[in-house]
Amino acid sequence: MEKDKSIVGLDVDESSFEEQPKEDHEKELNKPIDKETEEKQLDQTTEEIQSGDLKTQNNEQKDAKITADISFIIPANLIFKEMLDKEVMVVMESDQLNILGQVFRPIFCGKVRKVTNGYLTLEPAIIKMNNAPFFHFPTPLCFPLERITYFLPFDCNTRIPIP
Amino acid sequence: MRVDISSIRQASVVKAFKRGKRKKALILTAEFPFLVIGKIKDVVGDYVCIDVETTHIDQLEGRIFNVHVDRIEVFYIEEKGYKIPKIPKGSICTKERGGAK
Repeated sequence: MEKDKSIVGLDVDESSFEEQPKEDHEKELNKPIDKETEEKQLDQTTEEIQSGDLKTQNNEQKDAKITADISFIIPANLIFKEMLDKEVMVVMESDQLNILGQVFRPIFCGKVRKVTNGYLTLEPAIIKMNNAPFFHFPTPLCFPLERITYFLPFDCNTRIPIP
Repeated sequence: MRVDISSIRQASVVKAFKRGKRKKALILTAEFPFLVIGKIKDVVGDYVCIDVETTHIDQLEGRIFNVHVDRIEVFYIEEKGYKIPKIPKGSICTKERGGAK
C-alpha cells in the first residue's frame, strides 16, 4: 500500500505539473512569429504576456493556499472545491457512529471551510442526531472524501425527519 | 502513468496526520471502539499511532492504538482556536450502559 501511495506522488502535491506544458506550447507558438517580424517588439509583448500569465497563476495558487491549504486540487476533486464556503450536507459510508454513547446516523451539515485532495472540513459541524437534529459539535470536523456517500448543497436550517 | 483517485485521497488524509504529529486528534470509526481521542505519536504507512486518552471504554485508555487511516470516518486534528473538549472519565461508559438497558 505504501508503495502505491509513494508512486502516486502525493509528497509533491504542491507542484503544479499541469502548468508547464502550457508554457512550453506558448513558447513554441511565439518563436516562429518573432523571427518573421519585428523581433524586439514582439519579444517584449510575448514576455509581458508570459509574465502576466505567471502572475495570474501565482495569484491563483496563493488564493488556493489561503482557502484550501494545498495549492493544487486534482480535477476529480473540483466538485468538492466548488462547495467551498457553502452550506452542505455530508452523509458518510457507515451505518452508524457513536459519540458519548449516543448512536446516530452519519449525517452532517455545515459550512465547508477547507478542501484538500483527501478530506474536507466543516465548520461549524452540525450532527443530525435523532433527538438533537441541530447538535453543534464543539470543534470543526474533517471528512475523508473517500468515505463520503452523499454530498449536496443544503441549507443547514432545513428541518428533515431523521430515520 | 495511471493514478488511482482513491489512493490520492487516502494518501492525502495520511499526510494530514503526518503534519499533525504530536497534536491531539479525535477519530470516529464505524467499528469498535467508535471514538478515540489522543495524541498522534507516529504515522507508519497508512496507520496512525495514537496514544489514547479518551475512548468509550475506560480499560482501553492509556494505550497506543494503531488505527487504519482508510477506515476513519470522521476526524479532527487540533488546531489553533479549537480545542478538543475534555471528557470526564466514566461519563461515556455509564451513559452507554444506561442506553443499552
